[in-house]
Amino acid sequence: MAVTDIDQLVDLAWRLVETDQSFTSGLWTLEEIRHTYTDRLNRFNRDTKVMLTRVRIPATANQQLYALPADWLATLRAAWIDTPTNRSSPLTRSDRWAAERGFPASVTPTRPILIDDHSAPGTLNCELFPAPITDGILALLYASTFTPLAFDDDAPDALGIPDEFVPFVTYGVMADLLSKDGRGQNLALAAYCEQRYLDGVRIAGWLLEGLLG
Amino acid sequence: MSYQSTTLADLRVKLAHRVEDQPWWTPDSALRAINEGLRVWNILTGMWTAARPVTTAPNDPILAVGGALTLTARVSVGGIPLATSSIRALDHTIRDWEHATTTSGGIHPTRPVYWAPVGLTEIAIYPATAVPTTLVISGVATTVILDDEADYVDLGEDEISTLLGYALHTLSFSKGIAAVHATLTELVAFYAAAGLKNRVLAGSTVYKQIMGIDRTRLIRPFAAPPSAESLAMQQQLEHGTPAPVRTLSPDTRALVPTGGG
Repeated sequence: MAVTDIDQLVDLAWRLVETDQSFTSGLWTLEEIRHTYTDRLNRFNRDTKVMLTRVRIPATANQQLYALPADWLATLRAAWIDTPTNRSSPLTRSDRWAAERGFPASVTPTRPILIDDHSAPGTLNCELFPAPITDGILALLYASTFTPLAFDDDAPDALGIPDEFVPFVTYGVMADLLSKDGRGQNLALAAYCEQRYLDGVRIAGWLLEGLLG
Repeated sequence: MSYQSTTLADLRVKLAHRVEDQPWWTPDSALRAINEGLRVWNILTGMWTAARPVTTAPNDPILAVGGALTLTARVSVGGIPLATSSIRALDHTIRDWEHATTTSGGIHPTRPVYWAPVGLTEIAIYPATAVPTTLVISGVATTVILDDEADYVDLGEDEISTLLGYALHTLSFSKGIAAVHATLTELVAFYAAAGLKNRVLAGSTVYKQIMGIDRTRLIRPFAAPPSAESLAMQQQLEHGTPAPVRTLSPDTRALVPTGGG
């Protein structure tokens, strides 16, 4: 059975010496824990890319800017698929500096070669360089955000990552809670928790080492 | 090392013995600490494995692994294993591999020959199958966790001891940083035991990082050693007297190591 958010709330309560899972001490609110847990889950996926999503974005000739999916966190792979030939070719992740200065005037690629998904104008946008001269498809494989946890007793949410990695995310949550400025602050324990979170990131990276590329 | 079936009730008793039968934890928190140890142990050592058949969709190179497996380690079709690859390697070695199928002909094989992970829950195969085909996917199974007092795990005596050490360290968290530091050796012993069980893990960089034995940065200089010109300039700035610069002929210069990592 997959670990749920309610299960982890109980887990946090005993680790942080709370009397119950309502966190009546007032050191941390449930709302705060809910946000922190969702944020750490997303951060873990961004750091490890263990849970990936695929999307195909229709691209139009001569259009350079495209909207990324709303749940986009980090791209693992991008490919351009020519509509006329249905052939795909991987895109290299780059930035505006390289895009503006990387192509000599004599080079005129017939298809996009670079994608900039982190410094494109506005948030959640990406740019193709050069702009495609024909219609096509931008295929993305990316780490996505998770649905925000609700901590609803009547409808517990699965955490969305393999159970084996949940303890490390919980340590990350405790690192955030214990480093908050307030009565519950304990920087020594927070530093320990952050290390345990990083252990999980390293282990996940090791499991996929040489495989994810 | 003798293997044995140890029940949750036995584990609780042995855990309490570690602290002279004066536990500061609740039964529920002890259960959670033990199960956490089992989960981390499984992901480090691949203790529990499983294999399951998965049928491909025609012309689709991506297929879901299914929830029973935490990590895919091996894929085979008709008893013949596929070679492990990566999305990046496929991108760089096989043109338009995504659209190749077992009936494409040309350079493309007539059966899947490579598989690559797509995160932990999906894999890609090359080439995709033109007709539904059953692959056998094996790997690390979801951890067997304990719930009832009669539930048991099959582990050796020393592994049980290591697992209890991990649980003790986890439970010490609620007593503060001093208790965490006092039991840190239990965590190190746990990781060390996992390294003995899994030699691939023991040889990895991540293992050295976690164990605090990553010394590569000590043998790799952070920057190239200063050149004679930069040393002379530094001396001039500090003392106002330029030091003689040792100049090398182009032929000699080629023989001098440039240093640095």
